[in-house]
Amino acid sequence: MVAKLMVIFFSAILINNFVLTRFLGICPFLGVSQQIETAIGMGLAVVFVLTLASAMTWVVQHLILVPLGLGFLQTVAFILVIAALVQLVEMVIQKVSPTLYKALGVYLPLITTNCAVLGAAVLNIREGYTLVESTVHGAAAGVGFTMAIVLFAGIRERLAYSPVPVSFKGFPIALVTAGLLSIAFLGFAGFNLGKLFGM
Amino acid sequence: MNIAAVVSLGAMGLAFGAALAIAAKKLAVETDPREGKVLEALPGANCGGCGYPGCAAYAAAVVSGAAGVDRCPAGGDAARIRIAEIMGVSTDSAGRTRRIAFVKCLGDREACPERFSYDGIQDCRAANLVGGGHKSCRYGCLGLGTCVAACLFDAMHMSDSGLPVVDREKCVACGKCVEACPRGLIELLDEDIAVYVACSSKDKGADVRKICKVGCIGCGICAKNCPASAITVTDFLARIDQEKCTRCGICAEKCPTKCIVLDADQVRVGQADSNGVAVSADVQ
Repeated sequence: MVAKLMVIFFSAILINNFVLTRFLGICPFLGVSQQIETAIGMGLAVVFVLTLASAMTWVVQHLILVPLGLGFLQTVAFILVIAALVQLVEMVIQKVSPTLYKALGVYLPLITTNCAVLGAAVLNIREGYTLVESTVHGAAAGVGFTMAIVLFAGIRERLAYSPVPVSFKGFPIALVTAGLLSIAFLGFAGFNLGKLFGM
Repeated sequence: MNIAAVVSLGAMGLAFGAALAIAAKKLAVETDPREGKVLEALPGANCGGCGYPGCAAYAAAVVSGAAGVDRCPAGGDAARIRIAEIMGVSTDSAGRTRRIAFVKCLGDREACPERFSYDGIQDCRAANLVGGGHKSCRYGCLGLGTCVAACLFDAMHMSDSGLPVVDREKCVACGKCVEACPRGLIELLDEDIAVYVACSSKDKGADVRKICKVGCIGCGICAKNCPASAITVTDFLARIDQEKCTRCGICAEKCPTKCIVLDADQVRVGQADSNGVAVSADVQ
């Protein structure tokens, strides 16, 4: 049980990284990665939302959609759940911790339409995970996203001072760098995590 | 038509909507309506000159009483008076003297040549780390424009000879350039000062002479001739106390290296020097 959770956790971070391998959540990845500080804020917000959303969407799928034979409503229902959840989370954070709200409150609406969140929810169902496995998978996806965006922000901060050719300045060189980072993560493909955790 | 689909989706939508509406009421954070009005009165440049991260933060601080109404340099007197109105406090209706940024270095590429050719990151902060900087004077302006880039109001540009020039009209004294300069060369002073020492070199006079044509050599002639004793020389650098300065302009006239910059418009006619002799305004 724990072994399977470990496998799910680490594969979502390294082998099947949501940003660099599955190419989900590219929008905030490119948009919020100019500085390491904002990248960390965004990453933490994504972890938060992904974990909660994975759990909630699993519940909706298995307690409402499947019993009523409404599997085809999955996309619509999931988006509804995620949007409401993020809105609620934003309100709670604003009330409970104004400092935390100042730090990452502004990123929360950005995450609502982030395909990484919907992607994780749908993947959980497709892989047939239990509630616990889904939640762990969601959290790991968030951690993987955070790692990717912070690494990328570190590179971009230095790119800002480097002599980049004029036609590549800004967005183009960022895209090229993201591609190279993605190739680097290919090094993790083929890891036998199952063997590592004695499964 | 799949009734179950419509009903369940509709029910979920209604349920979430209701939950959010209730939550919005229960978790409502009360904001003082004055905050919005104060925010409107501010220029919205988010320059940080007030010391807060952005205009919204300053507005919140003003309303909570943590900050005074006169902290916004970009808004100037107009913002100060308007904010005082909103908060119901009094503030002087007269205009206060504006402050602007002054660069305390005259050593451009001609006056103070480079020691070595620097080919690294084109940022003063980076250049300052490489062996004390590529300028002969280790206190002077490196001329790579970090201050110009930091200015949010387009009030600075780099001259052809490698020194930053401040646009007196556009400068709002927000302090971003002061923070940006790794050598602390920029100072915010009242815009109506007559003289200031445009040098920050603490090297001995003989050393300064070797490397810079317009540096302060700490000779003390300005201090000796000042009728108001407003100038002190410490660490071979002259410093003018603007509070005591009588704007006679004698220091700028007597300075052998011409490192004291004079604003002829601000010099006051009819000031007497220590011998009781009237000083004219034509001090060049």
